[in-house]
Amino acid sequence: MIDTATVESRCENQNIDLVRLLFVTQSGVVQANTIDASEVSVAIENGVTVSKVLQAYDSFAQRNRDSSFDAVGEVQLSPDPETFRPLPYAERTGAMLCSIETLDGDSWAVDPRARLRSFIEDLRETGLSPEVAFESEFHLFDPDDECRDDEAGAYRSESIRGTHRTIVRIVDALKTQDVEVKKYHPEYSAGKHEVVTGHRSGLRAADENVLLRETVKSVARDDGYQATLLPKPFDDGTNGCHVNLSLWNSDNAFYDHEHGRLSRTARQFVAGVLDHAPSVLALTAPTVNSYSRLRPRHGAAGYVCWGRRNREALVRVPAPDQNLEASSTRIEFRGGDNTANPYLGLLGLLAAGMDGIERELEPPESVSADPCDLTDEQRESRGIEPLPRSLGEALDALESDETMRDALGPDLFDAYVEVKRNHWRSFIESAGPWRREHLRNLY
Amino acid sequence: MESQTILERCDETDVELVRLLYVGNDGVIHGHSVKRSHLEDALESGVALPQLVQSFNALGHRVKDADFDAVGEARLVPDRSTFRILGHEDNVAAVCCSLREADGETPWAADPRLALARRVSEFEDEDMVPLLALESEFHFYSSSDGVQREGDRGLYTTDSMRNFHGVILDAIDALEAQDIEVKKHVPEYAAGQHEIVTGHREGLGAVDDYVFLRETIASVAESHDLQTTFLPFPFEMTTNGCHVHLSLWSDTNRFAPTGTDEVLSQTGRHFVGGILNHIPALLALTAPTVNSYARLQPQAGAAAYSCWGVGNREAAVRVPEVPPGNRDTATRIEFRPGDNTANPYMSVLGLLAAGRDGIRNETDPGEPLDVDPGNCDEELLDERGIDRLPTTLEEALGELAEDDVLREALGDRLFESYLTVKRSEWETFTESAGTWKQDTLRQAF
Repeated sequence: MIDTATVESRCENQNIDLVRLLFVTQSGVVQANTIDASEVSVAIENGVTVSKVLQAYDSFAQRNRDSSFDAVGEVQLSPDPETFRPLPYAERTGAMLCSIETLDGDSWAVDPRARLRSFIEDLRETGLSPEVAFESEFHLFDPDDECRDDEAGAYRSESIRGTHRTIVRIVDALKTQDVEVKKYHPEYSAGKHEVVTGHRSGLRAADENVLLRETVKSVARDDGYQATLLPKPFDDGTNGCHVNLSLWNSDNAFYDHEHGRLSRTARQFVAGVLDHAPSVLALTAPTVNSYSRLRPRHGAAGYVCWGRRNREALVRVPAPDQNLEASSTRIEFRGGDNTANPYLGLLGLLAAGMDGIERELEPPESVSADPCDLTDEQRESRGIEPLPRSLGEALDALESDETMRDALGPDLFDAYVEVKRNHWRSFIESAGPWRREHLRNLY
Repeated sequence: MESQTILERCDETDVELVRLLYVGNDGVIHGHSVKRSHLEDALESGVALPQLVQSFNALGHRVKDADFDAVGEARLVPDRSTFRILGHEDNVAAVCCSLREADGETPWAADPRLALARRVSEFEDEDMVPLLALESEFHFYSSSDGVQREGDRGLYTTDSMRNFHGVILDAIDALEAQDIEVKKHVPEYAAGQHEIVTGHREGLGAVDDYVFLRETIASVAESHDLQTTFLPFPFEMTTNGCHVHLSLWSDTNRFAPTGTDEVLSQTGRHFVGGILNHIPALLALTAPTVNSYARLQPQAGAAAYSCWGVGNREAAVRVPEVPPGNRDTATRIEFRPGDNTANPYMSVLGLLAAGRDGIRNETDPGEPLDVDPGNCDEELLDERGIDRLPTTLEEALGELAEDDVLREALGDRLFESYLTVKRSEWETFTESAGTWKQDTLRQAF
């Protein structure tokens, strides 16, 4: 248990003068306030005041003027001392992840992190705890190279070799922050990399996803690169954020010890995720850009189905590690990306899965073939639906999903939907100039 | 018109090519040109056309699952009554066509023009004729830089009249030479924006005239080195609509009210009721491109709400105010959320089918709204049953897919192929999400 005094002494011993207070709003963008190290104890005890209106901004920092949040109204960041870390990439600086409280010190019903924390606490009461790992993909590229599309190769093999040093520094920086790095892959497309971090209990896994995003962007910048975790950053590449997940009591509840396979609980969890898939996507793939990745044959996922080792399925059951079946049996949700608020994405996934367990849903037959290779009739007879084709479709599903509304609570649910609807509307407005020259000539 | 008469007129006026015009599911006017030497055959039995012409969308893509493929032919058969010499161009004439089966007789089930003709004849069976005028706005712009013409501020000024006097005069002459009655010219709100208002005509003829009007204006403008666009949202801050004026006639105007305190007869009210009842689906026919929905915004002079009103230019259906002495003849309704990316045969067909459904079911349109719906609070709109019109093509297409009255009016084949073609446009638009604001988003995430 790290308390205020420990944070203070670590600041002093490690020569830390500034502490970033990190939080993620409805837009999915990581936000921060920075305080002087001398203010740390006050911040932990009393919080740091911020405006409610921050929750109304979308990823372009635009807000809906009709929002329920405006210039009036304040809440406070409540830094979690357990999350304190020195930041290896920022001179004399540390960080803490924050929840948001009302000025009275109660959890603010609009804060995603607090909501995830209480959801996981309720889950523990039923004897189950989530173990989660996020696998994040990202691209490194040269920010000055503006003609990328016309100069094939500009960010290709050369930059893979060139970025090696940066990748090593990213991995080192994560380890310094106590983020366990299990694997690093250079990925299929040029400039693309993936870092797989170790399993953590629910909230910490989401916190570490925030730290990872910050680390990747910061280290890349120091080395003269721009890093992006955007789902469709270039015409020929995508970035996902796969979520590996299992539920534990004293043992792995996703593993059937008797038969040595995926447990009934896990199957029910999968059934719940598939049942709520379109609305879960509104939380895990929440920008219009996300839906350019979620297409068949993009190595992401194109259909609502599950399968063992199936990389076109929305839920994959990875092959467990040999001789470690009991501990490594898990499911992988492939429909997420790093434009999500990780607290909300995980909350949605857990709520959908738990609904499957509570209703004892049985998943449809798992799919062993590439679902793209099946005919429309075959997919229909097996109940394999396409994923939503746009954020608008996913939001329609979310808005009519009572399970999700209950899981988020009405205040958070409404705030989230409002911001995302705003984002969708901005895209819809782009229909005016879209292909206009062609259309002007035609009509 | 007899083939012989047409051939003689061609010879008198040195016509060498005759354009066979039709409008596809894409709302674009297409054509084949037939040489004078082959005209006789073409006038009688048409020319062969692949069925897949009905699978092209507004982006010029052929939609592979639109039900038509490389195999399968239709015939483009002229409606000789529409023949006219295009005196404003050299040695050319034009005629509107329908698409028929390979035998040249049987109507092809995916042809929009014959689908409208069937609907009009249903009214005729009940001794009613629809009288129509399609009022189109358009922009002239300079072809060299693709932007609006300089030196013109729009705003309904006489300055705009002077700037464009030459081209407008030529366009009006060219229209009148085709027997299209021109009533007025209005320089519109935006720079380069104009409207030429033509007289009302019966049924199919009104829509054919509209096709000729679009062809004529574009052609005359070109001879003045101007580009023309009828696109609903052609430049920022300006729009082009296509308002449809409509009344039903037997011996008298069936929309004209009997009482002096009324604006519309019972039949007229029911017709409006039918339109409002089907309006979300109707938009898929009258405003059928993603660009259309950039125009259909509140308080933009188009229409954004499912209401009707007297003299209300923010209402979807306006009943124009007419002087008391003219009520018997001039009473009509105006449908405002239509534009020129529509296939005009299908948009008019949709309006007639919806209106007829209203007459049949005696649909009450409620009281006309006498304020701008954009200024009404939610409560009042709810109370009056006034909804925001679909805000995307996708929403409208979803409504159309569920509308059995419109499905029946179009016929399954036309209905299904149209939906597939239009859905592909929405699909292509959503694919643009990948590159939309990509630079900013790469920074944020």
